[in-house]
Amino acid sequence: MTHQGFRIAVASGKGGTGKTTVSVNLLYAIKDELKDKGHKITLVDCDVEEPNVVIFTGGEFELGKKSGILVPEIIEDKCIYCGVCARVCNYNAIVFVKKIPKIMVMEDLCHGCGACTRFCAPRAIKEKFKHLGDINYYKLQDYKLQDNVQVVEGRLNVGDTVPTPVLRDTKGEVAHEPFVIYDAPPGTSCSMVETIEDADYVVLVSEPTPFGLNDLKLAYEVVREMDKRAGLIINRSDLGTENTREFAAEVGLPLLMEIPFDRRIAEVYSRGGIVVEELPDYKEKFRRVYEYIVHGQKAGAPS
Amino acid sequence: MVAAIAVKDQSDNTRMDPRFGRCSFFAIYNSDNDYLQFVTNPAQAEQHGAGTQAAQFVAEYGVDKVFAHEFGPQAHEVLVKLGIEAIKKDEGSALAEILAELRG
Repeated sequence: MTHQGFRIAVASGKGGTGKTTVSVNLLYAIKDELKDKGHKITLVDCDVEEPNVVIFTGGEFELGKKSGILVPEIIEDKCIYCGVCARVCNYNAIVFVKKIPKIMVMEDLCHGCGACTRFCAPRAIKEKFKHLGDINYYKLQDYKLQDNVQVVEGRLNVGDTVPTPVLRDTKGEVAHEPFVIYDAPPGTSCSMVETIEDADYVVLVSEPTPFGLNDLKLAYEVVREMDKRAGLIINRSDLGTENTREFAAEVGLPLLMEIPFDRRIAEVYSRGGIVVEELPDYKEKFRRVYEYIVHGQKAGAPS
Repeated sequence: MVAAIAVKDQSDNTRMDPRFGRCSFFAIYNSDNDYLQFVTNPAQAEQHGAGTQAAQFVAEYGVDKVFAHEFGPQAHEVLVKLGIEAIKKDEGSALAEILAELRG
């Protein structure tokens, strides 16, 4: 990873630790530097089940592209009721009752893998597009940002339960962009794994509470399993216990930054403002995190 | 008439398992010959779509009615489409009570 390009994923085990705050502030802390070098930076909201980045960046909906999967449709005239499609389906999305006989597709369970179509000997399955969500672009209100900052989000349709295809399409949409920050969904689910899969660096955001630590450990395990470079940001660092710092030291997870429970941050945040724009000391801290990630230099001393 | 009842154990004095898709056993009762058998629910540990699998499984026994405390939306949809009546019973209902009801 160099100044020629990066893919930084901001993730956390636990929800509500400040992933989006970190993603957005990191973007604002480094955008000018990248602009001076003639680069565009893209922030991608990968939390397709409840995207919220645009609430912080502001922006008007500009363009949406449809995302979805191909689900099977059974052509009853051609079906020989062998049941192979139901057997190969890993998600039990095809119900086959030999006794009647009856075959049906449960579209909500289908992940669009295509196994049924592939294994159907009489070619009695045709695939049809099922709309699962959208990839949205936003026009940023701040005209100074428009030429070098891009915000893209994946948004799963309300009521649908299969987020990964929308996430995959959203990532595909920005595949050609050199400078990308992914705001990952919380947890250690398929969506989180999908998000960090092609990241060069994973910033784990946690808080020093027992829940925060428990979920950080899970997230760290995923990151280690996937052999990713990673670092830790502790949010609300002056609350809770020392255990999170001890864990990071024990496993050798670099501590990139500590964000204290600072009233000034709360004030900016509650106005919908950007912390690094209003509090220069934090801009410097975020910039140092970026320098560390890109150059491997030591981040600033914890506050 | 054939009925499947989601139950906890393979015994006559067992109680209803609250979950349809992930119940431990099904008691399959045939009122035509008053025959009762217990079968293991093969879908209980499925990662995805346990309800649809369980519905498919009991349908192969030619059931007309299924008893459970709760049915998931997918399982319910499958049962409806197969013309099987899904009947909710209180959690912890005894198998004996349901059988008595079926025997009239």
